[in-house]
Parts: sequence; C-alpha cells; structure tokens
Amino acid sequence: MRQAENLLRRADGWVFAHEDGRRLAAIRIGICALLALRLAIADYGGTVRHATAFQPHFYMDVFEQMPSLEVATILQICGIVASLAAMVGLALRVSVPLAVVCSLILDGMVNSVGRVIVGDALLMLCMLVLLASGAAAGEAWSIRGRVHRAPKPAIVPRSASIGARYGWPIRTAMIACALAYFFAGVQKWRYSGLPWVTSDNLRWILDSQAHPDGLAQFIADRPLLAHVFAGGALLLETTFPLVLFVPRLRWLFIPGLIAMHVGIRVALGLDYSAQWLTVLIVFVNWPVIVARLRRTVSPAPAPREVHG
Amino acid sequence: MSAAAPRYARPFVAVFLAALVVCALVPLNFWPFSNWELFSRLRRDEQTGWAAVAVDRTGRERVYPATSLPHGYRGFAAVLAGFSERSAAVRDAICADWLYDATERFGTGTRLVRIYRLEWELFDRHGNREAPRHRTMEWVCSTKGASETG
Repeated sequence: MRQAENLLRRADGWVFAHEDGRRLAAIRIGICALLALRLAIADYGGTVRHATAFQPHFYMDVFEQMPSLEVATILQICGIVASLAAMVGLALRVSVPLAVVCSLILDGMVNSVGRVIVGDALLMLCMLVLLASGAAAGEAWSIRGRVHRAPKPAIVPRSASIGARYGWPIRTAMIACALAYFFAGVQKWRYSGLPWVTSDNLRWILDSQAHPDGLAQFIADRPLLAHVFAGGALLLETTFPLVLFVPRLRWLFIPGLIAMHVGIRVALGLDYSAQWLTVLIVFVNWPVIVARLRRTVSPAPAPREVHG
Repeated sequence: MSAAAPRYARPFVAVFLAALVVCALVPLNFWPFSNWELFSRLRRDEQTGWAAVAVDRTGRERVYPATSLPHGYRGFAAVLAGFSERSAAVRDAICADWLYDATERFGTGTRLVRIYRLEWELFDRHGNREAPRHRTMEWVCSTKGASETG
C-alpha cells in the first residue's frame, strides 16, 4: 500500500514538475501552427460530396446528416483563423476552444465516411491539453501583451517564469505521445505477438499496396530486411515511453521515429506527418534552441582586456 | 500570478490519461482517444479488395479510379465492407453518387458502375508485375439504384 502511495506521489511529482513558461508557449505555437496547416490543406469539400456514405462516428451522432459544404467551409475558415490567433497568443479563452471545436467537427466528418484516421489523433489530444492549460499557455512568446498594453513590453516576459502551472500541460502532452506509440506496440503484441516480426507480415503489408513503389518492393523482396524493419518498429514503439524518464534517449528515439514515419510515407503512401511533428514539437526544448540560436547570431561581446 | 497548477489540473490529467489507457485496452475508438490498432493484426498472403468499373452505352468498361474518391480507396473499401447491411435507400443514394462521379469523369454516355470483389495472392506477384486479380461482380449501380449480383 505504501509502495503504491509512493509510486503515485512520484508520478504526481513528475507530471506536476516546474517548467519554463516559454516551453509551454513553444508547444502552443507549434501545435496551433500545425493544426492551422492541417485544416488549410485538407479537402473537406470532397468529404461533403460523398455525404451519402455518412455513418456518424462517436460524437458525430449529434449530426443527423453530413454538414453541408457551406458549414464545412465556415468551420474550416474559423478553425484556421482561430488556430492562427491561438498560435500568436491572441484571445486564448476563445481561440483555442474555437479551433478545437472546428477541427473536431471537420475531422469527425472525415472519420464518418470511411475508416477512422489515426494520424491526426495525437495532434488533437495535445490541443485538448492546451485547451485545459488555459491562460498559462499564453504567458510567454505572445503578442497579447503588446496589443493590450502597448507601448509597454514588460507584460511579455523575456525570461519567462517557471512553475507547475506550465509543467503539467507539457508533461501530460509528453505522456500522451509516449502512450500513443506504446499502445501501438502493445496492440501488435496483443493481436499478433512475435509473428508480427518473424512471419512474412511486413512483406505482405508492403506487397498489398495497390501500387507498391520501389522502396516497398525492395524491402518486400528481402525477407531478412523486412524482419529487421518490423523488429525495429516494434521495439521502438514498445520502448518509446523510456524517453519520458531518460531524456538522452530522445536523441535516439525521436529521429528513429521520424525515419520510421518517412519510410512509411515513401513505401506505403501513408501520411503520419501530423503525428511525428506533434512529437517533435512536444519533446524538443525550444527555449534552449532559441537561446543557442540567439547566442550564435549575436554572440556576447568578449570582456575587454584591462591594461594597467 | 501563482506558479502552482490550477485546482482542476489533477482531475483533468487523471481523466485524460485514464481515457487514453481505457480506450487502448478495451479497445474503444472514441476519436481522438484512439485504440491505436492500425497494422496490429497479421497480414496474410490472400488479399481481397474492391474495384469499380464505369460502363458506357456500347458496353465498354473503363476503370473507375476508386483512389480518386475522397479519402481514396480507404473510404471506398470501408463503404463497401458494410454495403449489403445498409438500407436500400442508402445503397441507392451511394450508388447514385458513384454514377454521378463516373458520368462527370467519363461523359454522359456512362450508363452503369459495376462493383467487383477482387481476390488475389501476393505470392503470385513477379517483380513489378502485379499478381493477377480474380474478380466477381457484386453490385451494379444504375439510374434505378443499386442491385446485387454476387
């Protein structure tokens, strides 16, 4: 009992650790920019055109039929504008919920005319965390202060404050990313076990594409290579939560993850860019990178030699 | 401003993470709380799929590219997987949609859209040459609606 309590206390301490407000702001900027981009490039008109195939998925039950093209266009425009406003830190109490609602309905429309799309789920989960973080996400790297209190720039902290109010959304988003990959691995163990690696499974996945490309055929025609890739993918997914506790492993796991998704894009034509970009945005310590860039661009003047 | 987490943060984190775990373990697909099952089941050599063919007045068949539909083949296959369980009115409406699409693509001479079920074995692929598909006609879409042939 005491051990469980101890474990829970340690977990609570990890999730509610103190973090830099600028790091949460960087996640806000990255996630909202990515959402705006996804909303801008998606073809919701095509979804609406096949409204007869509408089979409401989950919360889309509130709609009796597929929303019209006009509604979809309004949602798309509102979603993009709200995401961009949230990205720059404007009116977060309105912009983040509006962006979430618009994209939930638009993604719900897509999910209701075919197989449910997994690729955007992690991005949306992080948006939900951002929504829950409230005003904390807008306390650094935001133009909000400049608009309201110009010309005083003091409201925008240069060296942002540190606290648990910034830490828990960052850590929760990290856990969501880690669990997404962990469960993708767990489900493979659960439904297929080791044969997911040792059988011809990956060869058939690659071969079963309507038009397998050169890379897909290259791997499919080399059973040993197919086993190595399958084993690597399963190992990466199953052990991904280690990045939460061993930050150095992020240098290995996150590039590995990106390589895996780029390989899937090339070989299978499946786009998981929203997922791996979300992981990149959440795990990279952007304030440190910005500080390094600043130092590189304008290095501090060397102390002058004193003659005397 | 306090640096502490707001009071609602702990309940939110608990519910959020519990939803993630429960949806994966049950499994439930309450998007965006996914079950993360994609590609988790073993693939076999035997493959099945669907193909659509537009037919004009002369009986000439033209491949109706399902991948050009919204969401590509993913949507087409998913719709056809449960097609026979849908009501006749819904099937007719979907068929009318496909026929309209085919007419837009191939011209007003388009009379029918035939839906074939495909079966093939991946072992039969030779280099870049695809394995031969065995096809069975399952549905015909005409101006009268959807009719089952399989």
